[in-house]
Amino acid sequence: MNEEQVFKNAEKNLTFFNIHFKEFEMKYPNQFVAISGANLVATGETPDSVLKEISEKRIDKSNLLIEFIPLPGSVLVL
Amino acid sequence: MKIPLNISYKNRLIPNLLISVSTKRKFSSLLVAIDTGCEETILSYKDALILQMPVKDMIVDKKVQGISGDKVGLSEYVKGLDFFFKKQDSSIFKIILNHLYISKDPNGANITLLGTDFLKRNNLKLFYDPNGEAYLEKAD
Repeated sequence: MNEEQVFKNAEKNLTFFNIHFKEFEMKYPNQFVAISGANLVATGETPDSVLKEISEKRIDKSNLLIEFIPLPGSVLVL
Repeated sequence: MKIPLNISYKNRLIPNLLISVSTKRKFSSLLVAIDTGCEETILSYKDALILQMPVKDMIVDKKVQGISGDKVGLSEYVKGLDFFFKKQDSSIFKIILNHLYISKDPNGANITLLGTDFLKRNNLKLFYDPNGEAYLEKAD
């Protein structure tokens, strides 16, 4: 897979994440969600647990977006 | 040359962008943030795992402390990573990072940060208009 294809897949995953963000905020606060192929494929309280599930499901990590879901109404700051 | 940044991403008002990163072992895409308050580029624990880097086995080379007071251990990484960015015209631009840090902290939001070192070394200017567009600019 070349860089352009990786970007296209990543943009689809990010669009899916943004569309469903409010839903994720209600269902998975303070957790990580993994998106692949513009679908939710795993959730977990730690990056390790999410990646363990990803490995068990044999999902390609090149097409993966894993993001943290903050508590509803909160904003992430650095 | 301009690299557009996203400043309207849900609940993350800091400028961020999708990039692709390749190691000798893995090629993957990451959502990263530009942090002018950080003088080092720091790959998050989560993103290091996605890239199949042995972050758990790495030793702590230095610690940083955030405004929350939490201290985070960092491992120095000097083997080089290829970062791919999408330019305004949708073509791909590659930057090789020979030096960065990897966070050993599995807690928190796990966001990879491109620090001021990244901007300095690559002669990139950050343009940020909270009411409009944001981008990185480099002289062609």
